[in-house]
Amino acid sequence: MKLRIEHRTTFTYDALISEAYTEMRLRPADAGGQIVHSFRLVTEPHGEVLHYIDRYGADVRYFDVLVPHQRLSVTAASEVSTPAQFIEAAVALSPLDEYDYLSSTRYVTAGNALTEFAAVHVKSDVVATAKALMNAIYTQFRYEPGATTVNTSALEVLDLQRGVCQDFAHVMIGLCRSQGIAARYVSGYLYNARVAERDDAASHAWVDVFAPGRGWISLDPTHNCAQGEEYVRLGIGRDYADAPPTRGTYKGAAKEKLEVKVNVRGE
Amino acid sequence: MTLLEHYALGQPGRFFDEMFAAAADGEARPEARPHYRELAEQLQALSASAFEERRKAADQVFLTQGITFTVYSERDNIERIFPFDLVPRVIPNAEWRRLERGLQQRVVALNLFLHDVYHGQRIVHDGVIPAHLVYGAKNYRREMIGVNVPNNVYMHIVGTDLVRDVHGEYYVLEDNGRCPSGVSYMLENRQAMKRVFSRLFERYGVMPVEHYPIELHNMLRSVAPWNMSQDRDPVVVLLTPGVFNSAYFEHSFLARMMGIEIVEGRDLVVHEGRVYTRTTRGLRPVDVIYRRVDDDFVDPLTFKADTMLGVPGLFNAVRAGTVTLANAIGTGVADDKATYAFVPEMIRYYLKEEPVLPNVPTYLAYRDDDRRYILEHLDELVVKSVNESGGYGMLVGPHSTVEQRTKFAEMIRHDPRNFIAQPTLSLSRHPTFLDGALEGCHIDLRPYALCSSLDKVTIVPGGLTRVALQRGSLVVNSSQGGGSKDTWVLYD
Repeated sequence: MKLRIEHRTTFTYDALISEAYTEMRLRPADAGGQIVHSFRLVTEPHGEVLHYIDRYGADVRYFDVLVPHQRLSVTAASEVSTPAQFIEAAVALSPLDEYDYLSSTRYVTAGNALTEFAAVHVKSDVVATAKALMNAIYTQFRYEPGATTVNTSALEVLDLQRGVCQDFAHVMIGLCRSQGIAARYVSGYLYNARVAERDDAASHAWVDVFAPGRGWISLDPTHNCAQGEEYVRLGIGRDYADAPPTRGTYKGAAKEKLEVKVNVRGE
Repeated sequence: MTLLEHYALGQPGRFFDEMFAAAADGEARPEARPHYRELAEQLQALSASAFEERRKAADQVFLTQGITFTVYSERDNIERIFPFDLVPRVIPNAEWRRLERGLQQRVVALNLFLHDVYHGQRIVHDGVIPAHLVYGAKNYRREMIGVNVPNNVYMHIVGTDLVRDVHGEYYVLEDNGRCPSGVSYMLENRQAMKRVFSRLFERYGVMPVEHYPIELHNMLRSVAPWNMSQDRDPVVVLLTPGVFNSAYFEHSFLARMMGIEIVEGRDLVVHEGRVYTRTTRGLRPVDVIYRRVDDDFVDPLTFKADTMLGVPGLFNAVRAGTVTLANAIGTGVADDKATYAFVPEMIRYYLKEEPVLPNVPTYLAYRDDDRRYILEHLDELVVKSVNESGGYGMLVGPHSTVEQRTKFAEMIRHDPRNFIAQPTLSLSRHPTFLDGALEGCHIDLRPYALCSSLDKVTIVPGGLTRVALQRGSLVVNSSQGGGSKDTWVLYD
């Protein structure tokens, strides 16, 4: 499916700030059958945009705006073709990936509660277990914006049984890892033809699970389905901390307000 | 009474005395080792009061130069003069050459290891070192994966701590490859000794250490980015956390000796992937940063966000190869006390050589057998937390209380990866002036290696000899009541 994405981020400050440094992970990934036809990121005020590839393969864009300003807007525009199904074949993980995607991480710390919750859903193979865990989250947890924050951990979400896509992804990662299944966080967009531009409703997060001998499969516990053609992948990581869309610092005693608008359109 | 009249070697076979060999018949006076003979004679001839006078003269040198350091404790931070002992430690040339060879070998292997763990990770794939030890190390920086550094050097400056056992055999106790400190004391001690014992010093034929700052500066210039403009000299600055840092004296001292600018984070600015210093005439590019700020605090954009010490965007400049940090980010994975246990294996793996200098036997608490042994022998072992330095987070078994041991046992069970243990070493002893007479105090040695490339590791002859000034104490760290001595490496 061919999709066009416009992701606008606006930072506003209640007083002048300067020396703003920003890193953005907004370029869709060339991975798993997804093809990026174009990508452009522009800033206002102007900042020269540079880039690097991080350890997880994300093409990170960064820039600085040294002059004093009270508003900074960044527009990222991309055109992608998404595959009907995510495919990343691999027989085995590298030792680093195996360590990273099975360990406790900042948002996904190991805990008995995760192990116990997962234990009853274990099936004979990895894919069936992962799907059972996804289904358990989908049926038992309530989607409720505002119930959690960007800092809520998997263990806290498991306790609350409420949250948003980021939270469900973290819980699913924790459940998989507790059963020795390597799992990673995916950030991206979900296209929904029926929903018009509404804040960053299209921003989404889901989970990749590793099936030994086969490769990564991609599952979305928020919708209880595999990644399909409406999904656009941005980046991956051990958890959200490795794949934040924005990270930045600035100089000045001012409060920052962040506004995000994402518009995904089909052909 | 002379200074050495009552000098006691202690129980024979318990310690190696640097100056004296036990007398053969057990009755006659101990005999000075050949390289100490002249010094022993000189001390023999000195009265305690004459010695005391020279000591005061030396103290005055330090006081007027403001050589102090800060002791961090739970209650408050105290500024102190680093205690200096006037009796120098003497190392024969052949002995030093072996140490030099051993240290060079080690520094090269550590740098090969760092390049490997941030690139192909062959050493893990080949099963030489367990994956969890490398990837689970607190200072393994995933940000450094795939980043290239000039000459493939990560640890440019390494301070390796050496100790001697009861037979006088040297062992490596640990490598300090993040921001090793103390070299300014080596230089200041030498100045003081030359002033106070000038004639003896001249007669002895001591190899110089004064060129250390020049060597350091040359090394830093040699690791400037490959692609920097050839029409100017590399600009090197020293980045300090600021005047409240315990080693600030050393930072300003070294910057002055090298003739380079000392800066704090706020004096630097990154623009479009390049680092500059702010000057009254605008921005001036910087090529090499000798940084004395820990990884966590160098760049709030990439590492700890809530820090004022660093320079936002600095790491992206490193990644782009427009600036060199010395030492590089992420060296902590190689001087981690658990990784330490694998350094001899690294030497064999990368260099196909046998280590010249042995490691101290080390128990790794993450191994079930080792952990059981550690927990059963807490009262005999020295337990160290993997990521701490400066004698913090350490249990010295034979000098510990039941409560301390219980606390450590619990910490070890809770987080085994974070602890190692070693037999309590009977560090060698050296005559040291304590309360009006010379007594044997425990010492170690920290030479400073400078690495410009994998085939150029320079070590000025000597280093910092640290001495435990509390009677019987084995802890030589300055933060724990240690002092230092000048170290004399002799010409042939």
